[in-house]
Amino acid sequence: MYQNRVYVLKRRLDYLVWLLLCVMFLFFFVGPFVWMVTTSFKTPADIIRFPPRLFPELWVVDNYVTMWEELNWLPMFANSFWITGVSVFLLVMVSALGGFSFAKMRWPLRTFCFLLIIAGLIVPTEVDMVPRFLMMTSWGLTGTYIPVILLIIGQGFQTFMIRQFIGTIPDDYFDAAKVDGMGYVWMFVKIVLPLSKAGVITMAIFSTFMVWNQYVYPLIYLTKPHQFTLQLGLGLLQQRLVGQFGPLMAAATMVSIPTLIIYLMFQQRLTSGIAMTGVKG
Amino acid sequence: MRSGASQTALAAEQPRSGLTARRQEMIFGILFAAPVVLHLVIFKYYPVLYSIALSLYRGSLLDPFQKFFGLGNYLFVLRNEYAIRGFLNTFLYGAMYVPGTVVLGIILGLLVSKERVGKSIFRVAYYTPVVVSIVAAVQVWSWVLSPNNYGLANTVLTAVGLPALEWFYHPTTAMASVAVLGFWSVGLNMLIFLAAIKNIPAQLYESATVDGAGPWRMFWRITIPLLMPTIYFVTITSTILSLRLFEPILLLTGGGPLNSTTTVSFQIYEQAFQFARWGRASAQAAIFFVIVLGITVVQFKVLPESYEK
Repeated sequence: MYQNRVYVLKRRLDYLVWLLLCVMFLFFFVGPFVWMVTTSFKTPADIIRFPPRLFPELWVVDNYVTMWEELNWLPMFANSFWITGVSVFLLVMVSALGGFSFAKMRWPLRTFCFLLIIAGLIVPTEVDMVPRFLMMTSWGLTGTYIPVILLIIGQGFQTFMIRQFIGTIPDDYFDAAKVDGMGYVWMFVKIVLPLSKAGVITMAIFSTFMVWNQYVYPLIYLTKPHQFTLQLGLGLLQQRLVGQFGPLMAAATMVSIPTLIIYLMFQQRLTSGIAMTGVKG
Repeated sequence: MRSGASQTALAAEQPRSGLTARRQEMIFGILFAAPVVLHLVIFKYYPVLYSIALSLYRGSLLDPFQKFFGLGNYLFVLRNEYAIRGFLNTFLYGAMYVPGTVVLGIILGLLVSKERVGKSIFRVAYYTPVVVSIVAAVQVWSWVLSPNNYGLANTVLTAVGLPALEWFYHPTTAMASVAVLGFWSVGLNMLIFLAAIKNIPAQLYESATVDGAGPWRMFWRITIPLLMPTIYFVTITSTILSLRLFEPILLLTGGGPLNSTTTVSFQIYEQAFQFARWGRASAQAAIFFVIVLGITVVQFKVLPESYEK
């Protein structure tokens, strides 16, 4: 009886210590988000109040109005949405087709080409950034959307991952399809995509974050203001409103909301997806 | 009747389809792999050669190949104080970031691996910063690490009796502040460690408990040894990541104060896109590539054979 009570007490204490540690880390990882959002609703005087308070004395939306009037955000939303949509669709298609080919089809130089893809992962972007720009310039493509989309749709890592997924589909499916006289395009649509759906969706979500959040390539190639994406707008706002943290936090909140919603909707799928890639190395 | 007809049709087609089937597989196999392979050749391998060629020339904004310069760009970069500062800063960041992210990743992974009420909430919360764009992250942290009294971090510091810091605005603390920004997205490594911790068989801990081992002993004797392959993996990937530190510098510090945060990647961008010094940027990129490759090779060499997965 006594022993049992000591055990229960010890477990409760363990839980408390654990909770305390976890909450401490919560301040580091989530605290800045909370600070960002509450700052965005404060008055200028409230923002520089000493000592600072977490919640605004008076909740105001002035910062959102200022930020919204400073830049033309609507076209940036439109640009970010369509660039992300088109890029992710093409990226997933290119990776899945390649993955299918590398996992299940035989053709000459297949192993060599696959090694090229793996070796390409080691080449840092810093090396190809300058030549890519000069190539695009000589093709007359700078100042258009084409480089931003074109340069991101061929991803060795994604192709490698989707190949691993497709590799787990039993060959029987493809053998049966061949007997039925099914062509490879139909096999891709009717067997590969449905049976690797989980992997494809996880990859598509990760790629969405990657494309939506990209900054450097849009900065280099999208030179006209009407072409700007949300991230470029946010960067521009930072230069225009130096130190005005109210409107800046309002804009940062607005730009982060889409990815945060997608993340919270799919977090289960994403965390298990990472666990898988992590194990595979 | 119907089956008989289709059988004869199949039989009639047999020799031809046998030949075309293999050919078809080859044609479609090449066709399907072509986009990603061509993309790689055109936008990865060709640029590597292009970059090497560029590095041997001195150019202008309009003509990158204006004058042959031999190894002049390389010699210049290797002797230039600013360029060397860039390399040193990059290594300094790596020296702070890599051990930090590994240790923090293990601690967080262990915390959220416990089957306790609330673990899922913490898992989700710790990973959240990873999905936020670097531009937004930079803005949030430049506010949190504001050098003034009303910055959140300085408020906490002064509340516990420590002096307020200038964070990004002082040469000695600037790079460490950038590392704090890096640690914010440690969530990815946390999940990788979490998966590895979950793979450790529970019996090991049970039998160790029977033998009277405490949690500390179990951590060093069971958890850490079994996590070694993952520790190597995370060390290698985060080393490469840390050497490419670029966007926070471009957006936040611009390499300052007093060149204390100028990194190789930032200088490559700066030299190329601000000064049109294509040759110098390419030479620096080539040296950088050799260093990255060298570090990766060394890390794989010290990797015990049994850890190769």
